[in-house]
Amino acid sequence: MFLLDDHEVVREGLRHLLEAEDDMAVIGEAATATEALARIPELKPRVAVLDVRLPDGNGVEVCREVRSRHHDTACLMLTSFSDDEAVFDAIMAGASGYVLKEVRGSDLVTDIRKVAAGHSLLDPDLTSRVMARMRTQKSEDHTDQLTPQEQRILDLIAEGLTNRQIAENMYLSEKTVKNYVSNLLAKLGMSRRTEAAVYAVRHASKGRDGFHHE
Amino acid sequence: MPSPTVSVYSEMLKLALDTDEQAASEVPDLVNEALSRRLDLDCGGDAASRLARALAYDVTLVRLCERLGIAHDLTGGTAGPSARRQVERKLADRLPDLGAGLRQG
Repeated sequence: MFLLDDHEVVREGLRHLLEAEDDMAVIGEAATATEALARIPELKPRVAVLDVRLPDGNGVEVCREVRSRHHDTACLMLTSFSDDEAVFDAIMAGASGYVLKEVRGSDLVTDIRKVAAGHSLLDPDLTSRVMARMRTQKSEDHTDQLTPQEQRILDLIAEGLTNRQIAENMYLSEKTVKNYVSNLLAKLGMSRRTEAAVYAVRHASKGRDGFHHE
Repeated sequence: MPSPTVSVYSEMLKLALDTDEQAASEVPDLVNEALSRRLDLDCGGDAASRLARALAYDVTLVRLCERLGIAHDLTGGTAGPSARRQVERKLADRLPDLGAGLRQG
């Protein structure tokens, strides 16, 4: 096991916890990303437990680097909070799992054992949401789910118009436009209008019929 | 000999491939699908949406590799951006249309 955390107390706590197990040994530690990247290749641990936030970078970058060069080392991300962006980045960096720092000691030991045995810690809720969204993507273009009015509003969002400007353009109240925007974002699986704008521009550039209205 | 390490992403990709119905598609359709899915990668959204789009793209790349008999490591423990870049390079060498599209994307 290799531990990366900038707090010595955390590393110490983890080491005590893991070394109480007969089949686990902490073979190295680091307080910074630089130090970890220098030591992990040398020590070749089976599992690297990596803190996401570090003073000189982040554990996700360490994970990506380790996974691209040392395939036999599994990375388990340790985070203080469940951050959507960090979860996505960790998964794309090749992490075998991510756990919150408030995890119970016995659960962490179980998780590390699973990862060390060559399994990943798939979050069932996230996995089912991802698979459901994949099915939606496959079965139809997202824009097909939009009503003509929502498609028109999406086009205007892509042109950079505010809700007020859209309302004036379409002779609707600003509140109605706001409701339309919330609905279309939900249908597209997005949380911000800028994402919808990028999506609209991308799809319009692909020349999909019935989408880009001039 | 320890078991190979598995990432969350590679496991999700295996699940996605198991439930995918794209296997019967022809190469030109898969090329169009790949170009379209690649553009979708930048559309943002929450983690589930972004992962779904990344997986949809990688599923298409795997299908293309299978059709063309190209070896890939997308479902191996190293699945993710670096494995994907290698596969894109291999596919671009074999399929000039796809290569041009990937360079534009």
